[in-house]
Amino acid sequence: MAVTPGPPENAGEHSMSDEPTPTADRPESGPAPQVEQEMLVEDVSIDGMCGVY
Amino acid sequence: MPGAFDLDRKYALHPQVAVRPEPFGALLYHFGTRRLSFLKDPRLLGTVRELAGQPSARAACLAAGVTEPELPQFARALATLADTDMLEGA
Repeated sequence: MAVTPGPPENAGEHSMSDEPTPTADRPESGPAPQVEQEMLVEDVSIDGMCGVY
Repeated sequence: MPGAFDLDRKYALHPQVAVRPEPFGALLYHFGTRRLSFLKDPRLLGTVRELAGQPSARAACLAAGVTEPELPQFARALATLADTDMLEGA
C-alpha cells in the first residue's frame, strides 16, 4: 500500500525570516533602476600624502 | 552626499583654490583644506570659470555649453564643489 506523503511540517505556518531576502534571488517586480550618471567631480584628500620640498 | 545646491544663486571660486586645466577637465586644489578635486568634464571647468561673470550657477552652466537636460548632473557636481568649499556663495 503506497504511503501518500503528508503536508510539509510548516504547512499553515507563515514565518518571516529575520534575515533579509537577498534581492538577487527575488524577481524584480518594478521597473529597472536607472543607471546612475557618472559623477563629474572626484575628490581626493592628499593631506599627509605629499611632502614639502 | 552633497547638500542642496541652488542653481539660481551666484557662486564664486574660493580664493584659496587653484585651477589647473587638464585634457580631461581640470584639477582644483584648495590650499586651505588640502583637498584635490578632479573635474571630469571640460564644460565643468568652463562653468567654474564662468561663475564670476554670470548672475547664477545656471547661467554659468549654460554659458559653458551645458544643455538643459544636463543641468541636474552638473548641479550635483557643483554641489559637491560647494560642499567641499571649492565654491562659495557670492
